[in-house]
Amino acid sequence: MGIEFINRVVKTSLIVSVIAFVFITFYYNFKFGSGILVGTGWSCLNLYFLANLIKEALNPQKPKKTKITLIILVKFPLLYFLGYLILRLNYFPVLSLLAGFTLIFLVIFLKALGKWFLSLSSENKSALGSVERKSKG
Amino acid sequence: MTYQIALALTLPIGLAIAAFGSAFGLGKAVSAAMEAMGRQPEAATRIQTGMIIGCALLEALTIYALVTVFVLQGKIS
Repeated sequence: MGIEFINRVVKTSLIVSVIAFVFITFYYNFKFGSGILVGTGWSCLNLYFLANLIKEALNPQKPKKTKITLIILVKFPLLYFLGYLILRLNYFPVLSLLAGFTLIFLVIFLKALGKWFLSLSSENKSALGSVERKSKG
Repeated sequence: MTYQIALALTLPIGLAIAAFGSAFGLGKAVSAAMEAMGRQPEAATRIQTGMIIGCALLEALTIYALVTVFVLQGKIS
């Protein structure tokens, strides 16, 4: 589980949000669907910047100070101001924005659950294999 | 005391508690991760990913509090 896990989570969340947008727009309304899309987009950008900031700051080689400064400047004032503007705009329902924001954590939880189930099944397989070997021997 | 006054008094306090809790949690999480990375450098990538997810979750809690404050702020006036 490396940094590629974060990238996969971001990609999966964006795909899930687009699917949710299509379904919610079709069955409920456009504002709620687009709110979920915007919330997920904001959350993905936040996670992407956070991951890159930590990766660069903890680089065992010489950390790139300009990149770190740029990420801090984009993430904290710019992205948070964008979030404030989205809320102040009052176009999207707050509940949809929060639902979109939470979607990424749901994806992380389900991915972690899937990994846990896979490890559990592989453990069971190896345990079964050792039992079979013992019974044959 | 009207509910507007109660909201005006409690919203900043609630936000401050959320910010303090988040800062405290982030500090503890990052310091523990740094310690673990120092002790086991070969597991640094795994620890780093766990730390990023933990930081994102902690940050999300503060953002929920912030959004709640923004929404309730509109009810003061």
